[in-house]
Amino acid sequence: MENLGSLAILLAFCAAIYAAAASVVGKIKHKPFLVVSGERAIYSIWVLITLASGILVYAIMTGDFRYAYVAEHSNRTMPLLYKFTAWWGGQEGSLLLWSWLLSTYAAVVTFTNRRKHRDFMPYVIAVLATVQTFFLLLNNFIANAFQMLAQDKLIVAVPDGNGLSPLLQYPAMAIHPPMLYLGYVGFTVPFAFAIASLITRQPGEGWIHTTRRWTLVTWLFQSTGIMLGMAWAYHVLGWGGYWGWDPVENASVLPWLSGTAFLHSVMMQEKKGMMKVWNIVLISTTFFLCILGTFLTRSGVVQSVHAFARSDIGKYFVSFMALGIAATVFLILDRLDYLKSESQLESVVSRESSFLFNNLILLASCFAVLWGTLFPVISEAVTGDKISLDSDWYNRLMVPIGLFLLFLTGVGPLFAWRKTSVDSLRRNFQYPGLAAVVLVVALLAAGVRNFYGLISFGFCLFVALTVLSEFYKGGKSIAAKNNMNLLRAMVELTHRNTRRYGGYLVHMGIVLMFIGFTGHAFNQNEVKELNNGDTLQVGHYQLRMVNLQEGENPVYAWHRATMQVSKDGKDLGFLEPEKRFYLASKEGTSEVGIRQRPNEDLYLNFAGMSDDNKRAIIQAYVFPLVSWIWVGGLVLIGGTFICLVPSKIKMQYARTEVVGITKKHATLQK
Amino acid sequence: MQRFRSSGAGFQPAAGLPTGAPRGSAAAAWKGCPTRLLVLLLAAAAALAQTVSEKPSNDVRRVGQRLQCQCGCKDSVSTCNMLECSFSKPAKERIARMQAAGYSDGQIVDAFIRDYGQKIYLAPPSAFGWVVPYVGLALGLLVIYAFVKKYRKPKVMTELGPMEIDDPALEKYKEQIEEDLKKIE
Repeated sequence: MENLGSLAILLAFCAAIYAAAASVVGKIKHKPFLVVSGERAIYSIWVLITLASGILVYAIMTGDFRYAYVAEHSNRTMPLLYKFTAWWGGQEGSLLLWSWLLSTYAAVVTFTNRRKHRDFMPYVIAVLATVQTFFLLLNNFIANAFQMLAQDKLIVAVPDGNGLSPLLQYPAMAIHPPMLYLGYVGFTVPFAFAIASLITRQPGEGWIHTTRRWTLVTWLFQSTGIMLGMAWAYHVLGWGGYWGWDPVENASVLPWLSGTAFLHSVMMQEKKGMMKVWNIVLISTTFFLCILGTFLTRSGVVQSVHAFARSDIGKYFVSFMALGIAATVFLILDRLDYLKSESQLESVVSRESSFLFNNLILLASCFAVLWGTLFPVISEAVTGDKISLDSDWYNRLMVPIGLFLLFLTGVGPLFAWRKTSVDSLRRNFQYPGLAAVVLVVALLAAGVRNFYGLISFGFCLFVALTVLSEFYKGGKSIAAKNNMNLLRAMVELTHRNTRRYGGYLVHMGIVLMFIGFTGHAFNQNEVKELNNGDTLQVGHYQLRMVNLQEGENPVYAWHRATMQVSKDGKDLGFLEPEKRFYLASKEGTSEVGIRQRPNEDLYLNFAGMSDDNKRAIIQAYVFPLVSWIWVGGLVLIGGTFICLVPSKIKMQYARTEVVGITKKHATLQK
Repeated sequence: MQRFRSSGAGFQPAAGLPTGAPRGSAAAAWKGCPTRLLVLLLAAAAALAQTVSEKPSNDVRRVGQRLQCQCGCKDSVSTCNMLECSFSKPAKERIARMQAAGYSDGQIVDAFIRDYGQKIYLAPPSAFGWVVPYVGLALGLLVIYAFVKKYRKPKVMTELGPMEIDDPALEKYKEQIEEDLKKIE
């Protein structure tokens, strides 16, 4: 069976080359049977990679330690769930997962469009198959998951494997990588449609309408993956943070930022026929940032806590990206005539302009993060100076940018298309603006002096009120017309235009997340060595260590502190932070103790033992408002789901441009 | 190097395995392998005794960020996560001790440079590193300005002043037209 896996991915590689070639040749030479055979090759690729993946998963599950990959990333004592996740726990397996997800997407795209877009589907298939060929090349010749352990030309098995890194043995981490990969891989689909549309010089926005849901689903996966990663960092890494600007974290957020810009700017194209070149550039950028993300994760070209994934695979990614970017730029420049804007801006104070600024801010933050990620590498290569960018560098840049984006989240949707009158601005913004100012003054009076914190809370209230007022005004109107209660009317309102009101919910999720981020400005922490009976004060909390235990089992050795928690004299129960050392992988992990509440989290980390090995070193943190990040994430996911539900009333995106009447036109011919 | 002492004062050895600990054939296999158990326990003990440096405080992370780990990895002292790293662990412990003794970040970094040479120093970003993102933002604003200038619609008559009706027969509709235009706005 070990040869069957290798054979399957080799055949899939050949089929991918065939699918790309047959689709293009069939289209150019007008040979429909070749085009159809290209489509069938796509299905066969899925079958072959599914077979190969099944063989690998079976080998992991059954503990077949003749496979080098299984011996490296699994062992006998791992729970079944984590044995399955070992599929993507190492480089070879995760690249196989990439290929499998892409083949699945490609098969679904081919099937759902088998009777549509016949003029450019062959090129869509060719692009998908070309990307598939690249990853299958890696699967076959660079990072093969089916290599066997051998001694004296005989296949041998080791008694037990190394096991998956214990840091990865966490429920959120079990689904974080596939979620991110679903996002990374998913952007290949709109990219393929965009390129096919360019090649065939398609008029109109066909590719955008076709891929809108694909893009939204992909964005949803990417968002979920990022948030799961944040939750994992917060609950497992034990340093009390959820985002450290680690290069691999950055790699996941880069395509998310450009993808978010794309989701907004396509509305300009649908509604006004503008920004056609820009949208092609954005989706191409997003796709190549996904490839860059995979490259950063896998190459080890930059410093990262994800060091377990390093290898010299980078040069293949660089070559692929260089060729892909060159071909895309050539196509865009060659087809500029077909991408001319169909209308014009009527006012700077308009929805159109808010999209321009939205795109600017998202792309600026994307560029800043990309620069921060690559600058140490560039600096060392050019000047020889070793540079290290810490989180302060990112925060100083990204906090003001993020706040401006938050502000745009509130004002953008309330600007009218074409032109917004002063009356409209006053009507929409006076009460939310006033409420925000009152909040900031109240916080100042309460002693809050953090500048960005004040601005952020003010903007959060402003945006929340503008969003809620949209629901209220629309709901009130429907309630009056249909004689229903306000809540039901709001649900009806959302159902009538899911895209718009789902989008508002996504914005509300962002507001809630910003409330959580702002809490970071008010964090408190203390570190102390404690023995039984010793106390530690952090914020309003008094902590007393009542028990310190140690022990070991076949999987790990551990130390655990039992901490009695009280706040302002009131007993709140116990928290038990724990330190583990996994015997097979020889890695340590923290099982932090967290008391989660909407206003703040009390977070205890067992950092280790003192020099004399008698006292536990306890790091205690108070994180105000951090729970709102997770609540906001859930609201964001919910809002995106609503956007995916078809609207009750079909929205028409007819061009709404009104032609002005000039003096010349108003003069009647006699 | 610190060593684990399993019977240290202040400890209450746990009775049996913790709740939910995996059991099974592997556990049985362990019982017959005391030497292996001892070796692994020693390794575990050594690691646990040194975990102060594995999860450093934010203060230690900040200073460690300025120092290149010398174990051969590409990471800083803060981010090197090599188990039992012969360099980053003692370095983090030294940083913590110096901070506890009141040394400033600069003095700690200088001490490391004195001992290991300039090669250990990871500089903070230069002015170039700071300026480029802002230049990117400024370029973006320029692009928006160019876009608005290129695609800004010519002014319509209503913005040029009152409408002039050449035909006197239509004069009577003038008021109605103006009212309708106001509604459109």
